[in-house]
Amino acid sequence: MITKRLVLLSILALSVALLAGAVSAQDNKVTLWAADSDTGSCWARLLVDTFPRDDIEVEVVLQPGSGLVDAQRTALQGGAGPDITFSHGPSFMLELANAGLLLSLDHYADEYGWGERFAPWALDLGRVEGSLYSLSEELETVILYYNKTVFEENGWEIPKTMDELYALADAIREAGLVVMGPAFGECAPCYEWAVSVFFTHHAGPEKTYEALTGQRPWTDPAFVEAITALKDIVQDGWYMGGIDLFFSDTFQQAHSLFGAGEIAMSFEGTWMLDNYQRDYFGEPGGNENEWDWFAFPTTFSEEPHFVIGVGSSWGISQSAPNPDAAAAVLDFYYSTSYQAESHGLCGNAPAPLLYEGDVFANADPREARLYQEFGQASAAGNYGYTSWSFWPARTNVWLWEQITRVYDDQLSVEDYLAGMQREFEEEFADGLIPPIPPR
Amino acid sequence: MARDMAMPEDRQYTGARRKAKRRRKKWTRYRLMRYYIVPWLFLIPILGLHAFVVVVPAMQGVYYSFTDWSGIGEAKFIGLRNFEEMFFEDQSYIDALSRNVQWMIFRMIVPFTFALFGASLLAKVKRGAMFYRTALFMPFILPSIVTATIWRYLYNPRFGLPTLVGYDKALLGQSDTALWAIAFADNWQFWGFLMVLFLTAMQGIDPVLYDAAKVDGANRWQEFWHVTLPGIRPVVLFMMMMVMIWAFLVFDYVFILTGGGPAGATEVIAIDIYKNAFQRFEAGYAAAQGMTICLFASMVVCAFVFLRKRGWDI
Repeated sequence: MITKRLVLLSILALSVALLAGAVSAQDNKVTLWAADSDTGSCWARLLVDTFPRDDIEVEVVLQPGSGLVDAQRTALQGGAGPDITFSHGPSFMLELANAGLLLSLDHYADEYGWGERFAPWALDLGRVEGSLYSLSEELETVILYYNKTVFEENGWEIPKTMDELYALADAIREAGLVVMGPAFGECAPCYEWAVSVFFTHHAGPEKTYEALTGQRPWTDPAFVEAITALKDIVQDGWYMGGIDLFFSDTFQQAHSLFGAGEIAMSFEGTWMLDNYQRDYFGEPGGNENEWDWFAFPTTFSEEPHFVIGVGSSWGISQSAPNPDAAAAVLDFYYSTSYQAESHGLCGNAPAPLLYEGDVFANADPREARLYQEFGQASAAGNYGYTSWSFWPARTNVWLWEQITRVYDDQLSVEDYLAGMQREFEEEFADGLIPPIPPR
Repeated sequence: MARDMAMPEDRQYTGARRKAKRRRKKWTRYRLMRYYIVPWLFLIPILGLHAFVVVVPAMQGVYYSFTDWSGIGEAKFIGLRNFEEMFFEDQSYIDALSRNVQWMIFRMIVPFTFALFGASLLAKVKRGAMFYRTALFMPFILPSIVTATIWRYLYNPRFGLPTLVGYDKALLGQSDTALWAIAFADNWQFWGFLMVLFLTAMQGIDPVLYDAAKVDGANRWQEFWHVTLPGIRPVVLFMMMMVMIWAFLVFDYVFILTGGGPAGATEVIAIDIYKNAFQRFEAGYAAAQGMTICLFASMVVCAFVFLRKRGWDI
């Protein structure tokens, strides 16, 4: 009888211990999702392998396909999804925060000193009504890459003003080349890149700031001029040599032609810094060409200006079982050492942190120069705004969707901007404008 | 027997009635079990699953179509506002709807013509028939992404099909040609499937009818028009109904090849729904748009049911 009781007690004790262990492991497990791509699997592996705390288990679930954010949104709505949530940027995170699906990160920001680690504008991007809900990732801007070999062969200089850029475009076409790529046959939202740049570089960052904060309408003559200038260069065949090719060619086709020297420049994002060298120039591209970059000129200054943006944002789900552990993972993820290592190893753009010393010592010198110039421009106030980071969602869809109708002469520039103003006013009234860092 | 004879007539009658009643009751119970209860018992698992994955989400969709739901968080009931906006204010929805109608017309003409013509020719082929059928059916089983990518390259004006005729414009990059270019790529995948269906239906036609037609001196066209087509009419009409419904669901080819562009020229309802739900965060409005697709499909089905009741062989 005693033996029987002992056996029963032992089984019970073992079960309790196993259950406790399971619960404990569950509590200390932090899940996040990543795109199942080369870059995604690379940084995911790096994070899991190098995360220093043994008491927290990090699990990165690689999700196939391009609908990572949509899938995660559905999962979050259903009370599931990862502990650390990912989205395309501030306007998307704003929706999640407004729906009560994100946890406030204010006390973690104090605890880990994120205020001193992030670029001030970048941390502000994650605030909703003064509270921090997300952390910005992937520092981005749009620049003009150029085929350096072709430029040297033709004796072309880097333009510093818009007038010089127009003269350069004429020279490129006289040489029988296409002025610039890429083409957006595969990516409808990508039309926003040029619009963002023209608002800042043509109308000016101050005016854009005023419009984003509701102090100036989008129908202002400065914006009409900017969008008219953009429309003119598109209709003039700067992109891909013709509007039909601009509308239909793929990125791969455009980048290959750029690498081969048939297209002189590429008006692209900084996410291509790694790809050009890896896939399209030199031996991988089957050519002997080299590339470099310069800041898109402005109509008002010879100093380099940049539109700033972030490619994605991270936050902690309201339903995360152990938010402290999730915050610890975020803290490690946003360390300068992890960002530098991830950038060097996986090629993803670094987060907008304040990097000290030579953390990007192993980076390509062209890339290092970009971060240096970008930092200087930011400090001098020579920065503008990318639509995917600073425009509210509906206004942003209008911005990239309707601009193609402007290019195709179905919609006038005035009507385009009036429509943008209409959408903006509604979202402004509903409090859906992402935080705009004060200038 | 003796006892029966000894019983009064009315008692005998009552006993027989009771027996008959018992038999009827038993038979009714048996019928109830066999024809009403047991089949439903078999159906319960799939009905439960159907309710869980189709009926409940569909009902939720109906509810959300009357709200301003952003896709996450709480939804606020706004009555018929979404439908009012859709039909009276949203020009992009009306444009998208008209593109779906154009798509439907294209699909009712081009793949049907190809399939009827192909099936008529293949019906006469005896040698290598299976090879031709398989080869023509093959595109249908390819994933849309593969077919669409092939056609993207075929349409390229630098090295694709347009170069053969000296055309140097991108068919997918012009607002007046893009929709038709996509529809043709879709047709390439779809018509083989239709052809196999028609071919199968043709094999069920009594050969005596063809012999009779020949005796009457009918040529190939008259044979097709007076014998083949009436013989496969139920299949043709059923497929027409399906094509009309599918035309409002088109998404994959457009999404892959143009994403609704250039300049919105290929934006069909499903693309508009996707943008509203996932990019503009107007899931309630997107649900209302989805309801209209459902409405169009129901109208098509009702029309066919009506014709069937009027004696059409569908």
